[in-house]
Amino acid sequence: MAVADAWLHDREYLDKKGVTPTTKAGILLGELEYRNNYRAAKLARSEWQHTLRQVFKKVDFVAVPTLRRLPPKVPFFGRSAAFEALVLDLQNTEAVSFAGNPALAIPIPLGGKDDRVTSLQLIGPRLSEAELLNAGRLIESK
Amino acid sequence: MRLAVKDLIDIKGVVTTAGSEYVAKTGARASRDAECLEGARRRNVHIVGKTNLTEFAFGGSGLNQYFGTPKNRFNGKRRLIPGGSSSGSAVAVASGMADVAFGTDTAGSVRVPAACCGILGLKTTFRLVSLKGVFPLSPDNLDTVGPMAKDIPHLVQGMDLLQEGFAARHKNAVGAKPSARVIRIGRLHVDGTDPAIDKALDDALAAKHFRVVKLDRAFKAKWDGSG
Repeated sequence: MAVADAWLHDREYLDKKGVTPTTKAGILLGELEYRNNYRAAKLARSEWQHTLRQVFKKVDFVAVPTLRRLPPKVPFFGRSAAFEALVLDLQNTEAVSFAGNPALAIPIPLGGKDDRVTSLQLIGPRLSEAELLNAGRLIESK
Repeated sequence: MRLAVKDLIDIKGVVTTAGSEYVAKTGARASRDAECLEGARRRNVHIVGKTNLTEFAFGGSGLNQYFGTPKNRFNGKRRLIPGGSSSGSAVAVASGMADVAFGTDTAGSVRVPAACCGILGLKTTFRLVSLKGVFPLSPDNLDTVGPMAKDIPHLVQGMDLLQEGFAARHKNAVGAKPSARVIRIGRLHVDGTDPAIDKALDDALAAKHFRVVKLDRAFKAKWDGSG
């Protein structure tokens, strides 16, 4: 849905000099998504929102990693469509955006001897930002 | 408070570049602030600057070859990506240049750079914060504005700038559920996740004594089909 909407709103930039090929490729992909999947995605969204509402009758928040793996290094060859696709594949963020719900990303140490940090994503019911930050406060507390 | 603002959000008198060479060279200066800055202006918050991003907020890497990629100094010298698209906002907070930054999130653009740079980021409910004066990617379906910060108190302050009365609502939420023991968390395990990440999250939730329940396969199937 995001790329389809980007095509709807930003396609005027497709023929502009100074817009990178990677971005133009993404906008062009949006045209395909718009023509083939946009209507179905809009229909599926209300069902997904209903599913989330049902889950939030049983729990206050849903917890998933923000990223499935640790972030990669900056690539030597710079930005490319393939690298953007690789990063997209790490993300657990699109399903929440699709529903329109709020979500908090909060750092969590990997633990043990590893000094690296990952991120917990807490997802809440619509308009639960204050409650989400309360849960974040408790996670952050010593 | 020092506030940084993603360069997708209008500030009066400045070109909103959207991270694009083309827009930077041809765009007009914004005639007014974006509506989401009203709270910051009303309280005379010091806006320290506009922050870089992936071109047109189109991608999660945070890389930008024209303006340069914000340097993620988190995790030592590993040269990790800053994440995007709100890469500059995350780096501004992580490096101490700002106390709070505003980012935008369409499909992860606040949360992903927050995760990459070791800070917090809040994706707000769609339509909670005005998008008037924000460069559009998916304004009718997905675009949101949200705060990024190093800790919860600053995130609350940032959110209070975006939604008047938020700090009071947060205070009420703290009073209603002061302990993790009364908060139920549905834990979803996603395929392809590094086991060390899953363990870290499970350990963190258990250590704080949240009431954690594992979400079932039916929900997981719907999650997988909704991205």
